[in-house]
Amino acid sequence: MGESEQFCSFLIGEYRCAVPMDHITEVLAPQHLTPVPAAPSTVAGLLNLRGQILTVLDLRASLLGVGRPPGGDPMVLVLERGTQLFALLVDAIGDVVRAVSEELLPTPETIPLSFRKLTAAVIQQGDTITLVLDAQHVAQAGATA
Amino acid sequence: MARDDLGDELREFLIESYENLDRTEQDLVGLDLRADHTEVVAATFRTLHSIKGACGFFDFDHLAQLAHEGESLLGVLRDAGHPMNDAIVQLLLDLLDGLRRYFAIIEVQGDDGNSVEAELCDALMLMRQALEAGNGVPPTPRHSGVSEVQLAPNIVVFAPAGEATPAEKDPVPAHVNLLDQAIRVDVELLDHLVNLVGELVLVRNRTLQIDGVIQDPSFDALAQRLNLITTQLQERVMQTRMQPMESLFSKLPRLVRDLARSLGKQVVLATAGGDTELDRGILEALRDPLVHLLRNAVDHGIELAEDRLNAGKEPVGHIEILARHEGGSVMITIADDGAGIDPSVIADRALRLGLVTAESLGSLSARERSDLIFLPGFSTSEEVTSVSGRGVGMDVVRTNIEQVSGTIEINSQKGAGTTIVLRIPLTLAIIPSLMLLVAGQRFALPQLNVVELLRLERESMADELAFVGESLFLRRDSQLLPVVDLSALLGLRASRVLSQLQLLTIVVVQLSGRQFGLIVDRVVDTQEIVVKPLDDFIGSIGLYSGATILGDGDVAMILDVAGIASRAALVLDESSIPEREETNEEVAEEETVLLIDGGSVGLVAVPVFEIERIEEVDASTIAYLGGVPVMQYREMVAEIVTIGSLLGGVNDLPAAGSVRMLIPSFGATDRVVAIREIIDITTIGGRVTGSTIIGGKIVRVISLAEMLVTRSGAGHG
Repeated sequence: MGESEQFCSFLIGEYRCAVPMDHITEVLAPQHLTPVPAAPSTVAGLLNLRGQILTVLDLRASLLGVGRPPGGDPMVLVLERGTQLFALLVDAIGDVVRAVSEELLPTPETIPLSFRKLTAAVIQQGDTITLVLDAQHVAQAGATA
Repeated sequence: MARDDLGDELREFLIESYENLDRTEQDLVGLDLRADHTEVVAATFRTLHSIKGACGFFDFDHLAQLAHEGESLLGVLRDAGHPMNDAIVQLLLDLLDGLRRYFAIIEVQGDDGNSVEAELCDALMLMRQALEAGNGVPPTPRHSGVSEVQLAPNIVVFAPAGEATPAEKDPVPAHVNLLDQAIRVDVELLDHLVNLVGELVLVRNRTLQIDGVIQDPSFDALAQRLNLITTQLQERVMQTRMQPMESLFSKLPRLVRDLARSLGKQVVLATAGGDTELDRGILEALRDPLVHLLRNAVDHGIELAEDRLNAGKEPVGHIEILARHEGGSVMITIADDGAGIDPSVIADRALRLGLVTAESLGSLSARERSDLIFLPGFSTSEEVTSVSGRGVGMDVVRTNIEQVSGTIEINSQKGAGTTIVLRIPLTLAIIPSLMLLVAGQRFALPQLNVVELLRLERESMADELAFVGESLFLRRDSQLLPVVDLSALLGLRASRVLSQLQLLTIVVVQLSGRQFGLIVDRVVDTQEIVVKPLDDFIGSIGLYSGATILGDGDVAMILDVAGIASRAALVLDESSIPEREETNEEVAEEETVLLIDGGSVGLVAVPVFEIERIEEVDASTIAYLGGVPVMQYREMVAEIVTIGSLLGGVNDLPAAGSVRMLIPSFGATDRVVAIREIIDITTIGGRVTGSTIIGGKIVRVISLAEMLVTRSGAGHG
């Protein structure tokens, strides 16, 4: 049995996603965001994190193809990308998923393409499938969408 | 001679030499006698060599003599590869002390005094001779408890450790030297410090905002104190990053000389204002553009000597670079007396390179033809030479300048020369800017780009604005300036039918000599903002140069005027249609003022940029607090002063009817100015203060900022 890794899971629409715990620096309660006019639709806005300005990405647009409905108080995940920080708007934070390397499976073809592009692997535990997102790709998706 | 009187170069020389000596001393002291000492000897040699070199420059003969003897000895040590011994090390340490004694004298009196370190020089010489004579065998160090060795009558040379130097010579200068007063700081550490001060500025801004709400005298005092200290700290920290232009200028004469020689030209470069200081980051960004402009001036500007003679000029070409502070920014002028730029040559070239079409050329003014030089891909060089045609054009220069929020302007007269004016902010970390409200969102606009603020009421719109098809233009001086609706450009709101709006607020901005207007909803106030970098891909949108954190913790985007101009390029390119022939350059110096009937004090003009808005209130709503007239304005109670009372006249506040209030634009919203009637919006030449004549009548031109601030005294800052 390989070493177990921890993932932080969260919801985007109906999908249960996760990123490796050590990529996450912070989880924030719903925040006031400053919109960035003329930015791609994946940019939810800018966030003042103790004096540092972070770009907040909302993957709903690129993953689900729909914008965020009003209300719903989305949570903010702060992730590391290299030395830079960026943030992700998610519908809800789930629990911590522990998985050993054998439980990390290649992304099945049945997952919609928009998700597959950002997914590094899936974790199947019982009936639950968790998509492990690649932080690099997620950040890039925000940039190119 | 006071320390401050030492020239910068001498100061630098001393600091560097002290550092080198300290390092050499450590090396020597730590020298293992059996270990390889070549590196230490080589390093010590270099130190002495550079000291000797500088001596020639500063005219320090005595110091030079000592350094020379030391250098000679080290030369022998180095070349012959002698093993070190105690005696040599000690002698070298004595040499360092001798050098330090000279530096101490220099630091105090500016020259190297009149004493010769004769004994030390002799000792160095004797040692060298001994080494040379010994054919690789070093002289035997004379230990055995002998404290002084007589090599010549009455000359003390060296001795084993400790008692080497005669007692009257203190080996270490007693007073604190320059090195103890100056330290070298890691630039990264300094940058971090600047960031922290930036944070503090934000905390200050926020505190002051809260102070406006909380009516507590002790908190007020605390907030003011925080304000004061933060401002001072900010200034000082910024100062640490400041570098004089000289550090850039000093490299240029060599460049010009080499270039002129390779082109067979005679060029003299003069620089002035080298002590003008700039943030080191900006200075760094200026390096390449300045070198490029200078190369251009030598290569394309200055003619060959015979051509100059034929043109009736002296054979030697002159280039002058001048730096000076002007209104919170630095102006750098690069002027040459060369051939100048021929607009038609530029235009032909641009046409041949396919950068413009013949039709669009037709509509361009001479100035705009010259500006074609900034087009990407433009080059006047037919061939690629070692000097030009390296693929870096004026477009890159302009981009570099605009990246540090600067502007570039070219004024050229064919046959007479070219003058290029760069306008650069002092620092990028904290900049004064205008806070704008556009479709409910706040944006910061760097003040460096702002030319003026205009408020157009429905009645005056027809006079001030012109529609060309769908596009809106502002009539300014001799030109029609394009006007862009910022909310539409940012995609915040669909284009509005502007002619139906009651009121238009237009910010006229400039960018490298081009001006255009931005329609905003409101100008909130002016603020010193701390610029925070943006994520790469937010930056790549191109409309924002950064973001800042406002007093309430919210983030505001900082608008990038260059980016906005290029986004609005469709509008702007068909723009700047000269309405009349250009008159002269002085036009830009005009100021738009509001002409007011001041009642008992006569006609008064107030610069429009000082007025944020004009409110009309009914006299019956004016309340009196302790006899002081006040009104409710934006959830604040503002004191009403009349323009008459400001000017020492009567307080002529009417008891009934409607009263117009000027709301000042500089943030002092706790005071508004009541006026009787607005007569006109007009322009006056330059920044006139005092009196001027408009339409045959004498008008007093006043600065609201000055009057309200003086009047408020120790009140709100």
